[in-house]
Amino acid sequence: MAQVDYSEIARHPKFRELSRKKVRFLVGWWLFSTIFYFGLPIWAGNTTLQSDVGNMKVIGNVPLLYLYALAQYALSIAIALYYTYWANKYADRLTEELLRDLRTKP
Amino acid sequence: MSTILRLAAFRLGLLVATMIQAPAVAGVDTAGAPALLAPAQVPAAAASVAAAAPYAVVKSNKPLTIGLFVIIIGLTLAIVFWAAGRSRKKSGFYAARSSISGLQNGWAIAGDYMSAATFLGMAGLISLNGFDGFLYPTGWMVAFVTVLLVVAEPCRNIGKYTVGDILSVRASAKPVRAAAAVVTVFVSTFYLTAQLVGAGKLMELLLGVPYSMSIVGVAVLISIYVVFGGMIATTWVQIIKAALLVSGGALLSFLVLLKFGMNPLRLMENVANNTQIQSWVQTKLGHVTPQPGLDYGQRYLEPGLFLHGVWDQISLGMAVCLGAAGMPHILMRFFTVPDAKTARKSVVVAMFIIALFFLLTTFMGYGAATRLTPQGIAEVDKTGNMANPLLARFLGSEFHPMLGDLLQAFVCAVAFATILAVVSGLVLACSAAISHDVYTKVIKNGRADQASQMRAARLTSLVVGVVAVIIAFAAERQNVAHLVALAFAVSASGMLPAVVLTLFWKKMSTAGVMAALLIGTFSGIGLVLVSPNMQYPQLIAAADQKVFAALETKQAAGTTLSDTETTDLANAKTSYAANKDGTSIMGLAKPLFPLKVPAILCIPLGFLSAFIFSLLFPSKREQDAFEELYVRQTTGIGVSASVAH
Repeated sequence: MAQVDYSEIARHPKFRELSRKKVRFLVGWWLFSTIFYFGLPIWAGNTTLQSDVGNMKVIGNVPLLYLYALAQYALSIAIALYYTYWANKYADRLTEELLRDLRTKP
Repeated sequence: MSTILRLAAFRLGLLVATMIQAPAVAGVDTAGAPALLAPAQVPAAAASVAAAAPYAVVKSNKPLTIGLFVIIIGLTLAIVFWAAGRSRKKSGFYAARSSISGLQNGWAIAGDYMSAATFLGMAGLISLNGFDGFLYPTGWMVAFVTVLLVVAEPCRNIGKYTVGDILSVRASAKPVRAAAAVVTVFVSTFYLTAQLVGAGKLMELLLGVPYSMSIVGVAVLISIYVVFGGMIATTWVQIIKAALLVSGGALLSFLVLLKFGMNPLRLMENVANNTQIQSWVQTKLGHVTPQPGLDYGQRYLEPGLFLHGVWDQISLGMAVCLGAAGMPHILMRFFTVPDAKTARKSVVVAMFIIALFFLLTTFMGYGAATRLTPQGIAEVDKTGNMANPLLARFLGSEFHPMLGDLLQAFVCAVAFATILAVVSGLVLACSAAISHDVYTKVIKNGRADQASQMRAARLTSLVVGVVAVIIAFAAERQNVAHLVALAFAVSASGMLPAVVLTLFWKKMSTAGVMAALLIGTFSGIGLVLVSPNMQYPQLIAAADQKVFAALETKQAAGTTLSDTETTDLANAKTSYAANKDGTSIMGLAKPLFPLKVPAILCIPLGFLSAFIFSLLFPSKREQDAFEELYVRQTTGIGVSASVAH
């Protein structure tokens, strides 16, 4: 492949599948984690009284809002692991198939 | 005697130290830094209200600490000389020949990301503010989701040495490279200066080494690392430092939890029931007498002790959550790995390390709060930056006084190694931007030979080091909060839109890239200059006035003032007189922009200007080139070794 024809690759069905899947996965999870995250400052900013829901003690002295903050760590790590799993299973496999197709192309 | 003198000198220097040390120690990688500086606006008198902590000996065991410093420096220098032989070529110097493994790069990213801010600053912030302190590391953690999902792999697939490589794939190369280099140097130098000032202050306070000597010493060391070792050495310094940081954090957390049966819930319970913390919270809330029905200890685990109102919270959230993905020295780390898959793995590894360490920070923070009391920590340093060294001494001394010395020395050495490592990464990013983007690509039109490029790279590393030293000298008695805040504003509102839209938006044009870099960057700088991060003497004076008015009313009512109150009164009056007619650097009496972090305005502005200018000045050629860029960033064709042969 001395000269790569990028528009040909862009039209390749495998590439289009890869691109569609990637965009859907990445945009979806990024939005989800971002919305989940901004819930924290918005909720914290609106929690002022000790009687507010966010300040309700849940486990021992730990309030609900505190658990929500801890959940950010859990979600971030979960997304990282799920993405690794997903990418290995779909994105990397599709990329390899695409590259193989391109190499064996007559 | 000398200890007492030093303590006295320390207190005198408190305001200066607070201003200077905080950004460096407490927030170089962080948008939190400007907010951390907020206590500096508190009137001078408030400090002495705190109860004196008998164990608050700042000075460390000198031979022991120096010994540990020397061991760490020796270890890192050995790596540098080992690496020197491996970084003779440009690809080795800047990108470690793309030979770093995912695991190694993950540790190195964690090392780049966790500056002394996380180790010293976070624990301090939590120990003084409870829950609000915990919001900082939480945001920085979530930031890595954006790095992972949006920038890591495309950067690996498109870039080679610098952010300029990514931006110039389809835009006009020269102006974009030049602008990217300017922005990179801006961000990094502000960071760098603040780190240097922080290192200088740390050494001065802990070891009694003069400020100027520490600065020069640190700068010389870093120049050696970078000039001789390049990216390979820098990577290994990061890895070692990250490992030291995590083990230091784990050790301190273990010692904290040991007292509470290894049960974090019991630690929290102890925090909520601590009478000193309760009175600290009461003072913080400004309640003269306890409000009935309010559980002050529990209040410490609730929001609102540090960040006030929802807009402050959201703006900070935006900066911490988006800033990391625009940091040149973080983005550069993805060029050191062979392919996108490794880039992905390295982010995941980094996320695990960072999550673990940030959670440990809470144990250190709460441990410091309950064992040392917030009053005791604030007495030593109002920003709380000394919480960890103090905690280490306190916990170690419970076993043996010598162990207290040793543990504190270890913690200080770790903080020192952290500063060294972070600064090396920053110098390298600057050097790459100047010599690769400006010298090779813009001045020499890409026709410089390997040897002259290497000469340029080493020379620029040296120049950046020297410039940072000069600025650090000038900044010794300056409030460098704005420098750090600038770095953040720049990265999140200039670099981020430029990179993300280049990678993902077909219509992005040269005009858009330039607009994002320049308008985003300079609006950020402008907003910081008129924000509450700057010092507003008249506001300090107003706060002082409140303090002495209250005390004078008390006096007028016939109450005799206690010794501390008399001192407070005198201090407040002096401070008031000194500040009542002053204005900020911009000549303002009070901030024009109300929020501590300008992100909420300048990040959207950066993106918006990129959109508007791209649509106003579209480029057919650049739109056509998007297809190629998109294919490359998605698949890695054209860069990855697995293709094309």
